Amino acid sequence: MNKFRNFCIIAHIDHGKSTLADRLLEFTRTIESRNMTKQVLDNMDLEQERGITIKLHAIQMNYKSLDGEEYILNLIDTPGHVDFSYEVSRSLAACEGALLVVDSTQGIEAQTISNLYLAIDNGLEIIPVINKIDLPSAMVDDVSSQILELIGGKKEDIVKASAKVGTGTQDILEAIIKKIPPPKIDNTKPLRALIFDSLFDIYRGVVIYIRVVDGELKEGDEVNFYFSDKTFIAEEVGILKMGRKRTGKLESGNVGYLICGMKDVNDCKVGDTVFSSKQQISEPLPGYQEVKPMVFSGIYPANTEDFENLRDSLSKLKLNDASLTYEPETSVALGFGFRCGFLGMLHMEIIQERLEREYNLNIVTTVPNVEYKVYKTNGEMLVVDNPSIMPDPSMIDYIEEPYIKSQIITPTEYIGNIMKLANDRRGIYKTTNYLDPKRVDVQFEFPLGEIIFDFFDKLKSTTRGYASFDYELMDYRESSLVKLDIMLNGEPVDALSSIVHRDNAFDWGKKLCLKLKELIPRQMFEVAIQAGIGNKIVARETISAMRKNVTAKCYGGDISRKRKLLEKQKEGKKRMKQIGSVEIPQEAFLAVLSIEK
Amino acid sequence: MSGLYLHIPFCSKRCNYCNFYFSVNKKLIPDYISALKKEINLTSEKYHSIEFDSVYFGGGTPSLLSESELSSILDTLYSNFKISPYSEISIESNPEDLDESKIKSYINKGINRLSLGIQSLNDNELIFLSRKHNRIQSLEVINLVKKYFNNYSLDIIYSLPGQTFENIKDTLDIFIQTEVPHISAYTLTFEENTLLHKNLKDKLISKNSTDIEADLFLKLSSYLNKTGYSHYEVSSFSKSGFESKHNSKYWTYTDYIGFGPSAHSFYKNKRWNNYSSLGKYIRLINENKSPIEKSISLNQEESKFEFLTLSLRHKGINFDVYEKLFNEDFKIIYDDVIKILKSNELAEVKSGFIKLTDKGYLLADEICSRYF
Repeated sequence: MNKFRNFCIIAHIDHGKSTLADRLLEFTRTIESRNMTKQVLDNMDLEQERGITIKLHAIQMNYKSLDGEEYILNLIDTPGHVDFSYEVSRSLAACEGALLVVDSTQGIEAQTISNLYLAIDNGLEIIPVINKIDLPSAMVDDVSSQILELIGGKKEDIVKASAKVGTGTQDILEAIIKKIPPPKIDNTKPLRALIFDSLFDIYRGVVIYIRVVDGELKEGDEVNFYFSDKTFIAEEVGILKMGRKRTGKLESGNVGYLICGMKDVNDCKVGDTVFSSKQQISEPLPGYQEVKPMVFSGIYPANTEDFENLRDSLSKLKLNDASLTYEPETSVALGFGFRCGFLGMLHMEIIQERLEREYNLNIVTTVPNVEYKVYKTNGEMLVVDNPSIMPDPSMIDYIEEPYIKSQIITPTEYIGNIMKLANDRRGIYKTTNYLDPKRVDVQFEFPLGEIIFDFFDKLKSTTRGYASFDYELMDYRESSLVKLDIMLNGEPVDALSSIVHRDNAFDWGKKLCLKLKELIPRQMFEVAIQAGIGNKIVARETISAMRKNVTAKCYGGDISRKRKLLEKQKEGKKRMKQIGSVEIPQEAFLAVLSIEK
Repeated sequence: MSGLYLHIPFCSKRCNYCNFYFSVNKKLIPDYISALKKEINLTSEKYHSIEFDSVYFGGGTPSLLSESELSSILDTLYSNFKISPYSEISIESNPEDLDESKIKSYINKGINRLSLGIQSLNDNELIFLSRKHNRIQSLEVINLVKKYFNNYSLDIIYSLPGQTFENIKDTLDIFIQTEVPHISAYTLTFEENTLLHKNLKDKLISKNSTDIEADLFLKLSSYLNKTGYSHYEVSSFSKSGFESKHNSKYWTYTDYIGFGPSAHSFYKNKRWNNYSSLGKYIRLINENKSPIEKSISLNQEESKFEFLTLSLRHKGINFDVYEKLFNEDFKIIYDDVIKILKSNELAEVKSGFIKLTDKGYLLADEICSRYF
């Protein structure tokens, strides 16, 4: 009889996924509770701080069921953010079942629904769990109805739990055994294993996390990666407990890791299929996609001499994060840096923070933008991921921008606010579905460029934190877009250019000029801030000249004190970017982000 | 020629705007004087080859010293240093400490310049500055000083919160009427560790914006200029021939040797300063140890930076002197800077030097930290 059960947990941020995972690990004695740091699955510092899982991991538990049998449970963790939805889909594909965890005080959220549909599409058995039932504000009945509305089934099949205090842990484990089908096992078929994650180990190279679908993987096998088309020798194969546990082989149905002397994480693409190169190569496992960055921004060292450090740091980050892209670029304003591509805004923030915290770099980030398709009058199509390479308006026939399909789940009383926000962001209303009398699922299409700035924050504040949001890329559409340039004392500052919709350009230019006026300190001379489209100035602000910066007195010939004071001022100036005669503080390059639309 | 500076670290009380080191314990004066004289006796040998043409008693409040105390310090100086007969010998004084006999005694001891801390001739302003003297006292003392001293200076502190230029003019007009040859005019600063700073932080008082400060500075400068005073340093104005010889040494990169607690010295491209604590100073001297707290030799870059910043506070950068000191042509190296400063009316270039305008003086620190 087949003792494997492979499952994952679908939950919205803060609904208790990591705490529930901790309880399962404790209950199955995979880990002793006294050795636990809170939420072991999120083992990157940044993840723990933000309370979110950004990279997936897997762990194996042994559970002796009430039926007296011992089972092997593989929990595959999924990232909890929309930026990583493809990775979510691949980890779902490695499972036969999923726990759907819903916070009894919050109800179901957009992200949960989209991941739930992904799971159902992948044929997963769903075990609904209502969490946090110990809280006085728990709405167990309401949330039960919401769940039944979505997945059908019987009310009594919903497990009620409190991961915090440990209620329901055994019920969940029993449900996993009983309801989730065991994987189909056939060790005689040619090997096919699904890659659902990888990490880079400085001693061992790339460690590949796999689910063996067909056949058996043994150390010494020559393995081939279908999409990257690379061949390696399996040096070490094992399962994932609290750490890696070498077993020498992995049979079909099981989850584990493979180390094969791979040095470049790009050779190991999530969703790719591992074959045995000696056996006849069959079809790859379905669902593979090339992951493409959607949001782009320039990252520059604040001190030009840190360019090489930045390059090294990015290459180290890339070892663990195949979805990060970067290419050298030059800005007139900022010097040498990199144009980086990210899966989304959260991904971008994480990379920035890691560069600053883990690699101690002082960086300047430019305003993020999406990738535009610019069709020129000569028939050429140019992909523009940086406003500064936008061709002159006279050479442009038309421009296309990416659109997304979005799902917003909200209590009904906020529909009005959301409509207004969507309108401000050029949203196209599609449909509304009532999940229950109090909660709706509102669907819009948006230009991606309109939601990468601060849409999520705005949505949260306009709905007092109740709405949730999920999106997927749809297509490219023609839009009336223009490049808005910023000039300081007549000199264009390439790093401050942005691409905006023509209808918003005046308003936007005005707000941007005002914001820059706030952020750029007074200088020795008047500074004119202008926003322009082509040759036309659409907004102007003036920073009046600094009037006074002089020490009145040097007591008794104390010149050293004065020199120190001036040297400190000099240091302060070094941290600014000098553009023409104007000194610009680093924050100014992200000014756009703090503007109210 | 070089300068001698004597720091007299006693005051009868702390003014609310001052964070300078001093003691109110006058009982320590005798110990201090003997330590000071010992410091002079022990270190003067190094300076036997050079001649001095300025002696400056600064503080603190040097006018707190008695005639005999001052006299004994001066005697020690004369017996240890080569002091030119044409020297400027200055003393800083507070109006409340002076009477005719004290003024006469200064003259008798060869003191030929007196700097009087008037600060304001408006009683409300003096109360705001927590000064001990008042307008009437000040006017009397100014007349007495004028009677005995050919060369003297009056101090004014301005840009008090809410003060208008008319208010400042009330004080200035009296200065001008007395035909004082030198005026030091300081904008009020809110130094850390002062009562004024605390009151500002506690929002009991407000501070003028830099725009207001700048307006007052320009109005005061042009008013004094019109009435015959030349603006020869950021905060200093004088009639022709009455620039402070001693203070100018600070700005012209000339040597000066300081004695007493917290005194600063500059000699042979080296700067040092004594400990500021009076107790520590006296103890170290009595133990035959050096009272020097810190000493640094300026490297080429630092001395160039100092030369430029000090010159710009004063009468400008002399191109020949710069070339002699640093072996490069200022006009070529800083061609851009000269052009920018000139075109923005921050500086004027005249025969052989570049000097900041009044508008430029206001930005002296900004200019130096930005371009040098």
